Amino acid sequence: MRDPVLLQAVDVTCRYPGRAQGRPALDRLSLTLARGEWVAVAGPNGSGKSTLARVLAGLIPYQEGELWLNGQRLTPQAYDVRTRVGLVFQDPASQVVGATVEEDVAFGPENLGLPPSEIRRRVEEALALVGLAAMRHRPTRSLSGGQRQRLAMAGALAMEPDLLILDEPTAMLDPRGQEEVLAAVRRLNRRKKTAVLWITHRLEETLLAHRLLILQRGQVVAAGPPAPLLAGRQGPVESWGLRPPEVIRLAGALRRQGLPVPEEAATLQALTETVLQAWRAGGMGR
Amino acid sequence: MIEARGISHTFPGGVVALRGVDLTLRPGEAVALMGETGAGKSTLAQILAGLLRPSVGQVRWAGRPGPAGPWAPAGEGLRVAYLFQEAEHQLFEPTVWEDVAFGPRQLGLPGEVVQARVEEALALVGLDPEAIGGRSPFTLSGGEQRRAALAGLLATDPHVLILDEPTTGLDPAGVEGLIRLLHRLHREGMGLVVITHSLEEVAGWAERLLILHQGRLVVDEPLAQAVQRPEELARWGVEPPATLRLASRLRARGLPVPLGVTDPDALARAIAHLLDRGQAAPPGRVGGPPGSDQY
Repeated sequence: MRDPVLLQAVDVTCRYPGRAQGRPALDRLSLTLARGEWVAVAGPNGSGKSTLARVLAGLIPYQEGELWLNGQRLTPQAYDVRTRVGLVFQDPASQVVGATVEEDVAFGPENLGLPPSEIRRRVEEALALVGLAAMRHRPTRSLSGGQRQRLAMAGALAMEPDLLILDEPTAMLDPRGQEEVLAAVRRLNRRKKTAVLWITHRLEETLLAHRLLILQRGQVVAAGPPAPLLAGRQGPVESWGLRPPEVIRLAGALRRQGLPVPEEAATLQALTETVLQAWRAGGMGR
Repeated sequence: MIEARGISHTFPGGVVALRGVDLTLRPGEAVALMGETGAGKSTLAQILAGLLRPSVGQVRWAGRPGPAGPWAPAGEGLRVAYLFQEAEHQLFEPTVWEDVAFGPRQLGLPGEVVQARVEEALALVGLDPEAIGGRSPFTLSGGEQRRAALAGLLATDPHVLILDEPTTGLDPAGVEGLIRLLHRLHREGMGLVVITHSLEEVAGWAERLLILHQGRLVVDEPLAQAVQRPEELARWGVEPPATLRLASRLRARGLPVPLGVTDPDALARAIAHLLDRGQAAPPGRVGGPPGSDQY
């Protein structure tokens, strides 16, 4: 059987230059990511989320610990993963290089020196995955924020990475843009089985992931399926400097009123069904 | 009071940002300004702050042709302060303390008053004057820079504070702190206009909801009234909070849950009350066809 582990970090410590004293940005952080897994990462400002993204993508070095990708050890010195780990940042304005959608996506594969037919295949597949195929000839400056973020995703996907890291990809988008990006990630994760590390402040987005990691002071302080974690199974969410998403607070409020809301209920559909069942049962089932 | 009449705005290059907006902001009013990206929110907010002159139409600030500006002495009109989305563009002094002191100094206040105002303003936004005051604003995190810029505005004691997506990039604790601060400023009588994409953030304290769509003001009414029509909000790109959407789904299936309740505990109590009262479920399957309650 093939090893399902894609990425493993063991006691990784990362300090920024000039800050040798004091708390490191990542403090003996350990985590494991399986192939095809969608893992969300949340934590307060300064908890190390963006540092984690940059260390995993090889953009900044780490000083201690071990990092493994695909069974291969990645040292801070020999860190040849840039084509295998894609990274999308939060600012939709700063990640576009091409004049048209298609040119932008082709930029990475062209720099790999791939044959034109392979570049075309990758561009087409990446654009289809993020839902921009119909806009391939559009000038990039005409795109909305959500479209630009999906374009940045397509650019990363055209490199055919094993892992796509998104660092607060929806922070600067309106609700429509947020939904577009989430839909693209869902499609990518389902169809292409690309592993996703999704860093976000919007905890409601983490409910779609397979697993949620909570970062605090450079360490993973809690991990598990998102809904029970955010419902407080491993401790009060507020103690991590976070606030449960509204649908989870609503589930908690209904539970406090005696409604039998299951622990994993994380959607309005689930809450609606719980209330309607209690109603049909003629009261609260108590 | 800010009165805007027949405001239209076209940017060089021909992009039409606003089309015929009429608006009167009453003193001390707390207003949420919402709508999709590109709907014209920032343009309108900057016009209300007197930072941008509309192509067409007229704005009056307390009856005058311009706001008093953040450093005008009392009695010289309406002081309007504006927090930009990129707050770091508003910081320019070598230390945070100096930056916040800039406004009060421009007002010509005596040294001890300036000091008191700076300390008060930093405390209001949750920055420790001792720990942060001596640092360069450019060494702060994004959230801290936003708060430092806001402290600089508060130190000028504005009549109206306009904030462009102030919670973007803040962590949940930061968002909550800011919401509490805005709530407090409103209670103390400051006029507020807050651009946001989250109705949940403003539902607890804003009195009035404005929604722009393609440059037109399509919603202008008390917030408590507007949230009773979640489907319409969704149509304008404003995502209704989970509370409103749950109520809407349950109503579509026949359970008469009250409209417009945005507090989760209040909604849960209302639902429990209905069930306890033995509100009878219709026989057989409850509600309409699947998907009829989606939006």
